[in-house]
Amino acid sequence: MADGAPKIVLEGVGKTYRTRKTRDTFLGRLLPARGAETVEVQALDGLTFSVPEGRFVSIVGPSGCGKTTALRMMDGLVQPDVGRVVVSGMPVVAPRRECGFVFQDFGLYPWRTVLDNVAFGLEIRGVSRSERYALCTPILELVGLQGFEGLFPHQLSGGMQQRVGIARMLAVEPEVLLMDEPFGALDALTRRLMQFELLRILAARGTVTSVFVTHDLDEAILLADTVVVMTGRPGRVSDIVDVPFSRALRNEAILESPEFGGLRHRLWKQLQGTLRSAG
Amino acid sequence: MNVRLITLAVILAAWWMASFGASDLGFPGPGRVLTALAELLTSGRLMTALAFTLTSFAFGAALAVAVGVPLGIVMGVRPWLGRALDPYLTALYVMPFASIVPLLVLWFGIDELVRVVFIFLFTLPQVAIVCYQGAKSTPITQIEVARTFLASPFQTFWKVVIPHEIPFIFTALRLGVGLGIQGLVVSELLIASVRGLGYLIRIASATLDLASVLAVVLFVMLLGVGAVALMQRIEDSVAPWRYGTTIDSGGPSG
Amino acid sequence: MIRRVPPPLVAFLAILAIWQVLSVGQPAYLLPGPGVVLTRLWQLTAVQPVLWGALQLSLGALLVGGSLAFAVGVPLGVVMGASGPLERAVGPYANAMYVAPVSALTPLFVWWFGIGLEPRIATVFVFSAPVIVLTCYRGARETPRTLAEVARVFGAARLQIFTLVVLPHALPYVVTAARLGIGRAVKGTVLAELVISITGLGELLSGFAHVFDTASLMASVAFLILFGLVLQAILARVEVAVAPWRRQAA
Repeated sequence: MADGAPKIVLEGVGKTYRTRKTRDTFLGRLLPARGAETVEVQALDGLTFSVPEGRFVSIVGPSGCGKTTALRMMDGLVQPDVGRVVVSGMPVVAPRRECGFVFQDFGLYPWRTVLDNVAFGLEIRGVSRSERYALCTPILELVGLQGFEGLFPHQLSGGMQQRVGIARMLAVEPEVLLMDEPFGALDALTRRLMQFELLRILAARGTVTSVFVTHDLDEAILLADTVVVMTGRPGRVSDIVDVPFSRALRNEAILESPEFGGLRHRLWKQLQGTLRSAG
Repeated sequence: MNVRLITLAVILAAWWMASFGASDLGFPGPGRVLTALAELLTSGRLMTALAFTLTSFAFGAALAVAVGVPLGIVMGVRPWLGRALDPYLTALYVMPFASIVPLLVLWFGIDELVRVVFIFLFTLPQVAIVCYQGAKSTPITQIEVARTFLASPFQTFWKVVIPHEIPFIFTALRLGVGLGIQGLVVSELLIASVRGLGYLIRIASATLDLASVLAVVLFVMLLGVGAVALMQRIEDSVAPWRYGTTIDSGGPSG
Repeated sequence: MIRRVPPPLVAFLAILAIWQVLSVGQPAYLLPGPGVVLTRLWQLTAVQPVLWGALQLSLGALLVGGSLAFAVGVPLGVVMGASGPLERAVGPYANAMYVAPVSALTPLFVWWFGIGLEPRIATVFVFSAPVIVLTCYRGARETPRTLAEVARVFGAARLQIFTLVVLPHALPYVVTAARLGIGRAVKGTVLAELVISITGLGELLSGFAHVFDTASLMASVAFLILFGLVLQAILARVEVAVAPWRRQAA
């Protein structure tokens, strides 16, 4: 599996969240000081896997399995309680220049035009306005948003908004692409379209180390070179499966092929098993 | 639109009929009030009083905004400070203002200054609270986006928090204007002032000129409604992406 | 270490400290120090229930005016929210009453109703009703369309939709209306009394002012603030308890 040195490594990563919960009765809400209890949720337990350089890895698992937490750890938005996360050979403590991130709810700035949103990362780095716009224009073309530069996010459909999010990430030319269920907020048709869009964009861009979190099995297989299946809470690696299709073959036809179906079936069985054991 | 006119007609008719039953001292009908209003306008007394009142209002309100907006934003960005000061802003907000008038008169006299101070204290909590809630409500994702691009805290503040905050600032202005106008007349009534709208009301009261009292009250109401509506318009045009202002916006827009 | 202490307490101590510093060297009638005022507050509440007595006298007007405003305002607001034409008709006037200088009307009320409880009740009513109406209006108005449509799909008549969907949805807003209304009612009461200066808190405050008893004046203000805060806090808590599905109090 390793055709390049691992770009991202997770070793024995554990994470526990603590929240204070009040009892959900009328009296409990009236006097929250009494009977409030601290609840511990173990999101991750002993999560270990690595992402080789230049590979597209998708992480799939049931809701609440901690896959988003794991992804956020890769860019230093969250710190593990146990274990470590290493990117480019150095432990992650804060967001990295070389990592780009796409959020599920887009995270676009409503007061900025499409162009200004895409140029955001460059603006933070102090790139001059003319240079920013020059750099962003081809990216907008790449994601299919040419002509929409002057519009505001609320004027765009969900799919278009996420393209802005992807363009924004690509504009700073990251070495690692981290995507947190980027198509999760879209309807099924748009989602399918965006999946092929992403394949096209990545093909044009060239190989970049990518980690893609999703709960959609088809999406995970279609987009990735390798699929990491996680168990339910607390999250651990359940299985790691290479996807045997070359990138050139990823198209509508492959979804119908028996090999795809076989792979889907195998992973589905794997997921079902973890769902049952997690309870 | 028609329903509104019908209601207006109904109210005017009921008012007119009610004024018949009362004695001469009692209840001035719409006709007498409108005549009084016209007289006040043409004699220039209303406008002079308004100018005087508005000056105090402008100073006090401007001060409240100049202090309240930054205060609220800082409170939102520094949660510790926010939690520390929030109860005291709320305390100022719920305080019956009439009760501190004697104190204010003692400390600041009965001139322009005390009214400016009054307006300032009256309007400040609302402005600060709205800005505080606005800054607090900056969506986490938007802040995290900035973090993933390695924005410095300063950059995050100017490029994320402040733009998010702007519609809230306008809301605060609108609420401040609405409150301020009320507070102003109240302050002039309670503090023995010798000019301004409150003064007009007081001498009209003293001379039992009820029609004029109602006329000025009506005028102030119209002024208040108009100012608030104007601010609502400005607010809506500033934020076309329709930020929801769940803070008590004072009700339906006209 | 500062982190451990609740922030409002730290702010309180800071305020007290600043106050103390400012009051040094000032004559007692101008700015008494915090110690003096707090002692006076104790004297006026615990030693001799002067403030409580005044509050009781004012309470009558407060309760009657407030309850009236609530009893009239809630149905009016809710129905306004549920009925488009009514809202268009009455809405602007409710809005206008909200910005009206009610204190100017108080003397008028004295002339029409005579001296006594009535003008104060009327002032409190006019002062607190608009907020109640507008809040309940929002509660009814903002009923998510989906919820109403679910009822329609099950064959509910308009009246049923009103009672089974709109009213329950508006309930937390009614509690909010009560909270805001009480705040306004207290303000209205004090306002009315200061304008009329007849009995209760108004008389007390005017009395203190006349003899330059600043300490008592400040103590009374502190008392009123605390009173208002406690009322607000209780109602805010009730608000959250009544409707857990609403995470925020309007």
